[in-house]
Amino acid sequence: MDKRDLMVQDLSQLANIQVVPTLNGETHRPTGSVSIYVGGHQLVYNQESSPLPTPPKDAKAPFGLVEENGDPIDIHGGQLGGYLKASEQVQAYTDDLNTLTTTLIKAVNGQHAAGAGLDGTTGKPFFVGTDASNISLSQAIQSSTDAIAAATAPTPPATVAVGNGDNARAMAQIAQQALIGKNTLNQAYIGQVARVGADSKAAKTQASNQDSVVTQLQNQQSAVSGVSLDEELSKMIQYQRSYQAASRFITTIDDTLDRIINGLGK
Amino acid sequence: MRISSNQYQDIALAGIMSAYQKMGEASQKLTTGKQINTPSDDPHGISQALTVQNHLDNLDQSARIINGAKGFLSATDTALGSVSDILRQARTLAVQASSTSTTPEARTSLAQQVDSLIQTLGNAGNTAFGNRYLFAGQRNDKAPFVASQGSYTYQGGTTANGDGDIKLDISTQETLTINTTGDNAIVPALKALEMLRSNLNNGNTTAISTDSIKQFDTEIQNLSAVRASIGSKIQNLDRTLSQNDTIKVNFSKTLSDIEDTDIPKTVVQYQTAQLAYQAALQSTSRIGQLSLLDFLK
Repeated sequence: MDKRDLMVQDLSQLANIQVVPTLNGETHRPTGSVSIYVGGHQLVYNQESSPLPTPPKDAKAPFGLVEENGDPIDIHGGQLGGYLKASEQVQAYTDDLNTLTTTLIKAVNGQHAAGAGLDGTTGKPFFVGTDASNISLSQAIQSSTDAIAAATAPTPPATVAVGNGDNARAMAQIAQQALIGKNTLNQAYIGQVARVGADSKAAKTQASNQDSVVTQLQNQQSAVSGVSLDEELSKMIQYQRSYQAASRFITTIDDTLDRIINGLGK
Repeated sequence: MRISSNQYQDIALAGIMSAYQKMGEASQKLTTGKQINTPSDDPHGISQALTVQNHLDNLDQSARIINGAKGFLSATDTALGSVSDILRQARTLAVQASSTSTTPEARTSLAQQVDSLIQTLGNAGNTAFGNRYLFAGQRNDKAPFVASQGSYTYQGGTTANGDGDIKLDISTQETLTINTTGDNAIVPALKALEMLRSNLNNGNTTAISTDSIKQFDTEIQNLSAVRASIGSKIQNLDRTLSQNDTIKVNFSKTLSDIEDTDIPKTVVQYQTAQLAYQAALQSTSRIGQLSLLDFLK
């Protein structure tokens, strides 16, 4: 293997690349140069290279890589393919979590706005924020629990009855309501956890299977190209022996010649 | 098959690593005490565990609410007990007053006693549980009985106005009204006492013997009915509480079965993994050193 092969091997770990030898236009013989494609994008052409486009910094997954003319680049293998697929899955989990949070915010705020707090305010939100990334308690509640609308809003001129917790009960009962499909918020959350767990387990199993395949292939490659010390040593002994035999032959010839030259005719 | 020296090392290393990993997994289960450390350890188990945990949390919440409700109901019962005593004393006074032999002076003294009973009743109506008045309905931050012209007027919440009942969700399905408003339990008794006082002051012995005594009898009966209903509420709560405890024990066991480490089993697993790891290490260290070089002397 030469340096280029090694680099191609490294590249093949990153993405699903395809290596095509360049042919001479007239003779149709390989020129020795290669082109490298990834998912239809020409990465290398002889001595020139054109890098993959990058998605904008604030792009949301799935980051579908596209050419300037809008053609999609299909990356499904290697580390890059893995990252792209994982980011897609993680984005799906994030979306689920956001649906859960948004539903919670909407349900609780709707009920909360119907009630009145000890401070007499009504129609105020309990949570502020829009999704899982920015949900928090409203500023009024953070500074005083009197702002929590635990009571049913009184009909004027009546004032808030301090012992009334009916709206708080109604807010607590949100936990029992089927808000996401046929599921309560908690059931939906459990479903999400189980889904992440199952996906992660499947990915682990797949990774370990893939690992076995890679090991197998590496073994086969190594069986052909690798060095066995025992084999080389036994060959060395073999060569050493033939070298000894050859030297011996030379000594014998030398002896013979010596006998002829110096021994004869005395 | 031809095996190269590098390949042999790779195989040995893979063996060592896999054995070490198994040992690590068993060790994690033992040190954390949990069978499920991440959702991927057992996706089905984690969803069961979370569902059971949710039930347990609901039961704990329910137990907290029930204990609070029981305290409130018992305090109400005690306070109503003293109201009942006052009514009995008042009845005795009424019986004394209804006798024709009672002198006007004696009646005046009886009227004074009734007056003090009215005050005691007013104070009983203002009994507080913590910083909340028991008989004030939802308006329980202020004393519900306000003294006016020798008697008391009720200013608490009433069921009719919608600010009377204090309701608690004692489970996810059941709601219970825990309070008794003053206009139901105490105002009629107050009225009966006021009536007796005015009859005494007017010397209306007939009214005392025909109406007042009967009024007290009715009120004493009504009050025992109210107290009986409070008592049955407390009993119900106790029953729910003990049922919840039984369910809790079962759920906790289920939860433990799902997510806790089976110690003896895992210890055996750990030892097996350790043995495999040692074997991998030893075979690598001994056989790995051998080569034809060792025999070429």
